[in-house]
Amino acid sequence: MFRYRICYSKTGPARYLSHLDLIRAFTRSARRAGLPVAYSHGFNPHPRIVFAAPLPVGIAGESEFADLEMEREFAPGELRDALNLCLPQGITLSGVRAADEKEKPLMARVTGAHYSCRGFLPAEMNKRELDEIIQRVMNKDEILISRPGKKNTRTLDLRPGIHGLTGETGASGVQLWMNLQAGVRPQEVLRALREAGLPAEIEDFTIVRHELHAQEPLW
Amino acid sequence: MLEKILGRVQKPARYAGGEWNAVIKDWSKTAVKVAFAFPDVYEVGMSHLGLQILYQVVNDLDYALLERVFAPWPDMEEQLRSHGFPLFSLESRRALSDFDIVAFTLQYELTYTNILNMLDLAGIPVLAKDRGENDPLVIAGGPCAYNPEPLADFIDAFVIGEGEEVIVELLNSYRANAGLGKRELLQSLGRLDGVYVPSFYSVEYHQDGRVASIQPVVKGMPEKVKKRVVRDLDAVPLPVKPVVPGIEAVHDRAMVEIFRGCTHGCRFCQAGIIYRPVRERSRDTIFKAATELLKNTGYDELSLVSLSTTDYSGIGGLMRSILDVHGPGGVNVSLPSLRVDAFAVDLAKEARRVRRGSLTFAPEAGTQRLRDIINKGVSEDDLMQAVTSAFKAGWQAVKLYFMIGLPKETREDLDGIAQLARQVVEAGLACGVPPGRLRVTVSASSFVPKAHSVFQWEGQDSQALLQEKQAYLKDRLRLRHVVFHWHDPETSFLEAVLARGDRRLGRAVQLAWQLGCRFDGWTEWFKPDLWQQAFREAGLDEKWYAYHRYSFDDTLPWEHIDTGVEKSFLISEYRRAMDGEKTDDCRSGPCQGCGLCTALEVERVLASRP
Repeated sequence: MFRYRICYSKTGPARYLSHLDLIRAFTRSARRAGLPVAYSHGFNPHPRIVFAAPLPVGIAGESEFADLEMEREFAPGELRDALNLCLPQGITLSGVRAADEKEKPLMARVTGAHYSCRGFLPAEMNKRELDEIIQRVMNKDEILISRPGKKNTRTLDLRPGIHGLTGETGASGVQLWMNLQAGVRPQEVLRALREAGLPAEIEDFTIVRHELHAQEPLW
Repeated sequence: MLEKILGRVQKPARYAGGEWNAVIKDWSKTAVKVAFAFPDVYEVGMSHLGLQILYQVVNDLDYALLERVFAPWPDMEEQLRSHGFPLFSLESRRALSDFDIVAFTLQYELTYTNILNMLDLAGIPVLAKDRGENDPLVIAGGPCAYNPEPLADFIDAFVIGEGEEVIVELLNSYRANAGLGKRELLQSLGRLDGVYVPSFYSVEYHQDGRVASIQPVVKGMPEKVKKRVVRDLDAVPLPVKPVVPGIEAVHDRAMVEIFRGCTHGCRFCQAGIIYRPVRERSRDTIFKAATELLKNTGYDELSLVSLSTTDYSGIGGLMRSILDVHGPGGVNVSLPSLRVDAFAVDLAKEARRVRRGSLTFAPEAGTQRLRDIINKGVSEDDLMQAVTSAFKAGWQAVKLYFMIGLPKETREDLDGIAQLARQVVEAGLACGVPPGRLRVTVSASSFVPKAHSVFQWEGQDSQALLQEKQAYLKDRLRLRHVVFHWHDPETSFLEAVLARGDRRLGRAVQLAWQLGCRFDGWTEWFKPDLWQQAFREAGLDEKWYAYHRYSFDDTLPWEHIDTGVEKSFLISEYRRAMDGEKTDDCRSGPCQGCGLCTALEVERVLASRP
């Protein structure tokens, strides 16, 4: 088995594909390209693709990572080009390299991510107002949220996970940048901003994950 | 704006487009723009082979384009209406009203309110008479077009029969005549074989409500519109580059249509009449298409599609050749609709290495007597051999499809269903299926008399009677290892009303939609109370439509639609049904004299000698 690290973007119409849809998109694209993806053995074989950090539906990703196992060896550039020819609109591989079996699993290495959120506002806001709202959030000792789980609802404190939060205002609305710890969701930060006075619905925001952070670089 | 809306709905990918093999042509350089409007949600519509066929046929023309639009889910409808955003196509995201032609497919009567809703969301007047020169032409085809009358108020032209050839003629005619105004255009379309323009016909009624006559009132229109049939399926293109849905469709696999038509002659079945004669594609065509299809889509499952796949001449050899070449790459072959016999199970065994899930068989009736009446040529022995073969091969679950409410049905026939279920369970246990795993699912749908079938004169059992029968069955099927599914009688009732009705029903359909009916085929959205209100306000007795029996002398509401099969044949078959006499399949036996091959100058095509 030959493992490859892929870096890809998931944007445009592909931003609305779920994680399972994405797996299907990759396996079908590989078939179209005539590339033999390795499958697990046993009763219910599944393709050997693991992702660093699944993206929720609706959030685009510019620099996402996954490991792909192939049945035979490929020159990384060949794999990248062949797959790119067969991927649906919105999914593009920016890079492929051979990966070492001994590397720590991808998912365990991700520590956080960088997001941008662009949103409409009912009326133009000036920068000072926005900064005040951001400050209100950053000044809090704790921001408690509840996340419904399968068995019970968990209460979490978001604040320690918000490493950075800045924003710009413009004619049509607001642009925010967030540096978040793994596990903190950008929508939850938007909700906190809303509670601090930001006059926008969470659904009005277009969210993009620009970068994943890890202790050792993922690439 | 669209992004804002998509952020607020479930499964936004339904409306996002960008799928593999989607075709976006240059709008400004293409003369005729067609929107294929499937009146149900994306996941259902993307399973429809007809869409993929027409997508390829129209987009292959250099002067036309075809884009897709599906019924927006109610949450999306709310967003579209509140933001004043018109319904749009997936490929170019253009408003539906920008297209020249909007083409609906009529797969199921309970999608009719969705048709009106989609027109309205597009800003297109729902009534044909209210549409002007700047509104798109609204056409419709598909199985329900064989009784088009309930939609006569809303559709400009119906296409009867198979679409591949007539759609090209229609587009050519459109190109030549669109500039002459709508009436001229409709007249030129109405002169094409297989095209029915409802506004050019007038319907008269008897005092008691039955149809008295259906007559053309415009010169040049035929008394009866003959269905279109493709003579040589090898000569028309198979869709080998279908659009691959981004999210999971109900049927998400590569599909190759291996033949059209079925002449078993099951008497309740409309499809058996309207898709005659049997025309098989050659093994070579199928194999080549399968290979191209897999390469162009990346699917790992291939379905050999037809009304009765295991009947294909040389099906074993075909399957083996596909599996030999594509099996090693991980491709599975699926066979929808298995005939009820051990041979079919042997094929299923070859197709599926891992025998998971269940195998489905459709005995349809519980006793030999009733099976002979409906001409379902399945014996108890056939069924037992089939299920035994399935259990021995490793399947642990079996589904049995039955219909209740069939003509001449008695209590004994319902007992027969329970008896068969019991026997199948016993067979499973005897074959060593672990008791904890063995499952026999009995599914009983309610008979809906369909236009042009042998039983078209029959009325449907009343809802009360159907409920009684379901309760009776439920009681008799309280057995270990048996699960019973039944269909809501209210849904089947509405289906019968719309399947058997005349054009006066249009008023009720419009009212039902105005009152808020949508997605009537979905349990969570079906509103029988609103439909009742609609029938009341339209002054119609819906029970009469579903329950009353037609006599052989009656002019049927679909009298003017010609399937090529003679009425005398249907009557003769009906009489044989009442006597419990079976009729052979002309695929493998002698001609039964239905009249179709002569009437339409067409003939049965088999891939190899039987």
